[in-house]
Amino acid sequence: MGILTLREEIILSVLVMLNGSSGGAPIRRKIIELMGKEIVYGTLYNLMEYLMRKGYVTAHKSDPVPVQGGRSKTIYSITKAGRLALKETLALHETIRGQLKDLEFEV
Amino acid sequence: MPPRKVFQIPALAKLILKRMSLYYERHSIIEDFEETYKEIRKAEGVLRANTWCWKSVIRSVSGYIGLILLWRIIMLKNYLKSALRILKKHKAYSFINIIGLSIGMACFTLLMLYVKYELSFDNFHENSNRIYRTIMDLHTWNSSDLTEWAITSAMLAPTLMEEFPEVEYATRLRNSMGQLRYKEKNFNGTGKYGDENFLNVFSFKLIEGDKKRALVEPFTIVLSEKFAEKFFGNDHPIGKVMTFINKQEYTVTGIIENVPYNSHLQFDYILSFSTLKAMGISHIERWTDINFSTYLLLNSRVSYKEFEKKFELIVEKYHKSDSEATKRSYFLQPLKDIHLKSHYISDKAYNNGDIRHIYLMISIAIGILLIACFNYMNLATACAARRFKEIGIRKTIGAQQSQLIHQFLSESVLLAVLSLTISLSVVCIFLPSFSAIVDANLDFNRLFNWENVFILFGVILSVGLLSGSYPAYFLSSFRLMNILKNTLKSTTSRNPFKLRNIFVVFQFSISIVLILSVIVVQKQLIYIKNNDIGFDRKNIAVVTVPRDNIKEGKYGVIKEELLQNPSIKSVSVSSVTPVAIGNEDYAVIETENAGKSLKIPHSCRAYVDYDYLDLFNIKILQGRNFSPFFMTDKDQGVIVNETFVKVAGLKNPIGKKLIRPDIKNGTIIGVVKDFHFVSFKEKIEPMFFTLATEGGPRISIKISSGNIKQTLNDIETVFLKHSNNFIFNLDFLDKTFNNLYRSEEKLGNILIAFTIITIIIACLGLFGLISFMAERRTKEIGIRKVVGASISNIMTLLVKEFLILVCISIVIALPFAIYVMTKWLEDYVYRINFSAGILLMSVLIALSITLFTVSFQTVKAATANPVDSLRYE
Repeated sequence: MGILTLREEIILSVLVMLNGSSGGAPIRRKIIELMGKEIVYGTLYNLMEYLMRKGYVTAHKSDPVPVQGGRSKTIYSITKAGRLALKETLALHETIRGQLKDLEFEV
Repeated sequence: MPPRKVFQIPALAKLILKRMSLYYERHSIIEDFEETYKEIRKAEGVLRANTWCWKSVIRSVSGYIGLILLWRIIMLKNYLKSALRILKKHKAYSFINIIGLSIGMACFTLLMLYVKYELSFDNFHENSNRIYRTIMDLHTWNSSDLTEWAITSAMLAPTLMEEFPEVEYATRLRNSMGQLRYKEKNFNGTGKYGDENFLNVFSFKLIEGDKKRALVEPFTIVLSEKFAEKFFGNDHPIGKVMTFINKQEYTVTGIIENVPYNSHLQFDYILSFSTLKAMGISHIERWTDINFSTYLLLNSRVSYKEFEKKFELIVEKYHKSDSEATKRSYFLQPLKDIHLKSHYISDKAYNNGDIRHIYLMISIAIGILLIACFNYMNLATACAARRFKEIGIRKTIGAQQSQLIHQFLSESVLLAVLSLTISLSVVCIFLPSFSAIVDANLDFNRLFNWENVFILFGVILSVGLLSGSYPAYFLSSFRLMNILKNTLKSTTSRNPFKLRNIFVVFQFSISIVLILSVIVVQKQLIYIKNNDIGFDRKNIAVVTVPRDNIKEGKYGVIKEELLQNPSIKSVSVSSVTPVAIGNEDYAVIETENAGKSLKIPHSCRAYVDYDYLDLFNIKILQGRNFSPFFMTDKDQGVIVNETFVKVAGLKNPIGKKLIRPDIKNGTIIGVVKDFHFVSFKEKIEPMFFTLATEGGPRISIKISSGNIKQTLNDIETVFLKHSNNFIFNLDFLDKTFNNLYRSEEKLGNILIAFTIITIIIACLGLFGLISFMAERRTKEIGIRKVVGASISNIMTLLVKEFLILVCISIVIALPFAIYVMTKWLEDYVYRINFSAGILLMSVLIALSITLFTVSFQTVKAATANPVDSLRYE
């Protein structure tokens, strides 16, 4: 398992926070809420593509929205591998934090 | 319930997003955007929502474009790979296409270089857009038409400068020719008399000397760098004294930069104009003597059209005494027009270009390129069947029509690039001989400037896209089902045939127009050269020697000694040869006609000796030749030509009086048959001969045709024996005569070369087309033969189609060609007529070329054994 980059970590975390799966728009909203700055859809999609290629995320089309002419949306869900990778990364964070604390480097 | 309109994102943004979602098909871009848009709109209003939407679209676009480009490059690699494979696989097909396109592009490049060279004339002057040449309109003897002259009186330039503040500088020039000497060195050169404003008007750079003082004093000379080097080598030339034609001594006051080739003024030296005054030549102070060219540098604030009107004041003031018949008017010609737009101006001193030839070149260049493009289109569509499988597979795995179009376009552009590289090497090889043919100083290095690179790039693109456009559309529009079921041939072959036929007709029309023009131009040239010009020019050598160079000061001595040589038949001393009369003297003559005198505005004059008319075999119609037995001939005898008699309206010309400032009591003693002493473009003008046995400076020598080399050596020995400081230089009259038609010869050469090229390219295409047709119909031919068709039946079957096309092209091309060539011929006062023979000849040539090209393949197809073609059925 590789270590995730910060962006990947954020996206995976957000997916976990949104109960494991969600559409694009709620993900974007949550990310902005977390980071406090805009993320462009293009970037989001590219990251998703990358994560999907790694097998951390899967995407499927939802049922059409129940209005006339409503279309289906892409729903992204985190996979087991994704959860595992996220856990490992967070553990690494803990280790780093602990060692830094010993050196009296408080965040 | 439909989604509420209010929450729609901007339409344009949506369109862009839709395009993008093709590449991000796993994501629901539009839905996500709409959702977020809705949220922002609810929370922060329309404006914020729109700004957000546009911001995100724009920021996503860059990534999107990158993605497209990435895919394009990946696909391009594939396209190029398959294109190269196809080129390798179908060698004959690629050969025809590449050769055709590269010849076309090479022609285009050569012609482009030539056209740009011709257009660059006189552009190097700093103020070239403010310099004008004064042209004078003068009624000719045939008073109904005006003739335009590039020459004026010497008084015009200083008068204009004095009286009109619009004229910044005005300068006048007069041609001069002769031999310069410095110590032991003698060189012939061409030069001009130019006044002190010469260097102010034109931007010829003085390398040494003072621009303001260089041409002010009389007897000063400015040399060109090249010419100065001949005399002085590395010495410092300023202040040195040179001798001109053994007479006057000139002090060198300046060295001028070498004159560029693309200048209409060409000279080795400039003599100061004030010299003429110092020598007491009164011509320069008379308004009636017109032998000087006048150039003006106008103020940048006036338009020359406006200024032209003020010349009326000049006419009123200084030409009051002119009779109605000699009324003149002036106008201005921009410097840049002199080289190309002077064909209507009588300017015998300068062999100018012709803007119509430039247009012709441009159309030939484009025509050849078009023919090559059509070849490509025809072959590519004709050979479509070869690529059905490829197209079918590409379509099956998901290629859209636009992608196939991209593929075929990149193929043709690749071919264009290949052709251009080949054509550049062709240009490199042929440039020297081409510049010799067109008589221009072209240089391969001229090709590499930004403008040309830009043009060539444009050529690649337009040739590639144009020639690729139709095949791309044609090939990509096949239905997948038809391709795979192999039912295509019957359904699609009808339509493309039509367009293909149009291309073939177009190609042949161009070829036929060119063939006809070549025939007409060549015939006219032959007509000019072989037509009875009225005098002999074979085996006549001409030596120009000023009398001052002769030791004894008499031509008679040389003449006598030459005549002792058995291979010299006759010798004559005269002012001019029959080829060049008119350059020398324009005169006003009054003839007596029924008590009244008539003024002939200008006529030409030659000073000749007793043997002149006999030597050149100019026929005397009435009266007699000059004769030593009549003492009065010396200062009274005048021989005129037929035109002169006609213009003066004389019924009985012999014995009529002819008066001129320098002929007190002239009497017409003879009339000669008209002979062409001017180019065939011009009418024969009235002219007359007067007697001057020691006139000079031309000595014409008629030699017998055997052992010419030895005779020429003998002649040289005689001249060197009797002359001082003289550079022996001998011209043959027929060569000088042919030089008169250099621009026609140039045009003829170019036309022949490019016609042959055009025909070759067109035939290449035809050859490819017919071989493909024959190949496709192999089975049909086999079956026809089996059921009893003869070889000639099959040949007619194949050839008929093309013959019909050629006939259509003939019908289209001939009227156009006839129109154009009639226009061209109108330039010549003496010209050939359009005869049925010419038309027939061009038609026959076109037909036989077609038959020749087509027959190769048809014979092969028709004689093939049907067993071979039907074996596998």
